[in-house]
Amino acid sequence: MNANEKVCIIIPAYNEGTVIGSVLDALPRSVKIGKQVLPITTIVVNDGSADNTSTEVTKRPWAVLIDHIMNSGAGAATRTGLSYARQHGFTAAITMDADGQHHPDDAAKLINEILKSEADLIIGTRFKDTSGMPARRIIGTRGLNLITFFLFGVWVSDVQSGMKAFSRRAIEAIHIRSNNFAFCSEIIWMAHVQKLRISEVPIKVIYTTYSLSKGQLGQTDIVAGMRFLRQLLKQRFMRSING
Amino acid sequence: MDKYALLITLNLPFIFFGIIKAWAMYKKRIVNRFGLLLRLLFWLVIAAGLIFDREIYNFLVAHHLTDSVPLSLADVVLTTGVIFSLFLCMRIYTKLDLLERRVDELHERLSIRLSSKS
Repeated sequence: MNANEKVCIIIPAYNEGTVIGSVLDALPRSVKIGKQVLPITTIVVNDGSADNTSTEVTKRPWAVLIDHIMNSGAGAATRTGLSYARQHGFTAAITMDADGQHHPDDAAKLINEILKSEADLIIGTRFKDTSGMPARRIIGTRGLNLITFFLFGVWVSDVQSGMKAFSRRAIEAIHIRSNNFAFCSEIIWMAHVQKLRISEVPIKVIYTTYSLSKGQLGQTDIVAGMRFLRQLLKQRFMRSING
Repeated sequence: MDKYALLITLNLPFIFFGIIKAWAMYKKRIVNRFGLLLRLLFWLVIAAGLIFDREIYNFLVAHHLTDSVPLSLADVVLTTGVIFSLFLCMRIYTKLDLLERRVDELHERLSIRLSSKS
């Protein structure tokens, strides 16, 4: 680790006006690595929200706001955040959800891990402790883990986790194309293809009625699963044809 | 049901749809008059083929062009048509994917640039 390290937290947000303020306030603004204190830049990618998400972010001048002109999906918002991190020379980036389900301490934990360890991509896994997690979500996510494994040959315990840490190498190498929730698997696939080192770190998840109402697995799981499979197959197919 | 009538019944809606679509595109100024004429010509040729299918088929049979041992000319035309359609589908699909990617990239760059200005 050197003195030029730049760290950011990327938060894709869509209609999260009720919670985004508290999520931003709770996030660490610096992290201590050894004797060094590194500032953390928080980047919120507002994915064309129709509510006051954008206003809530602008009330906090330390956060960078990128407004998507139109709603494009969580994958597109994450891609924009990673692109911003690439352009501005960030050496490590964390992605996390805007609905308040991720613990702020875990963000600092993942930053520490990505800067100290040899890993290029760290996935914050919710599956070391599944207490409080609805059974249907456990089954659904495990099903998606299996789909990802069979399609891309890489196994992780929580493919849909929104909390991930990227090293500079990963920020440079991972270019996702999925606009929707298939981007989580695509990130892991791309890391595998680029021979990046992938590791997992357990994280805590705060389940509230609000956070449970969000996310694709809260809806009709079979339909969401089929849609997810179709998106991954499309990515796999199109990457083979169009490169 | 007569097979010729069945063929017309199954395919005529596509032709009507194609003609209506061409007319709508012309009205919305998506295509010009030449574009409209080309599209109309395309669909009218297919419609003529369907309407006169009995005569065409009788002509083909009379001239032994549908003999299927080992391969008839009609088989060749049909198979080529199917393959060509698949080729077109594939080409359109890949072009759409590339276009989608470029639009995504444009959206991403615009969003970052506009945010850094504000």
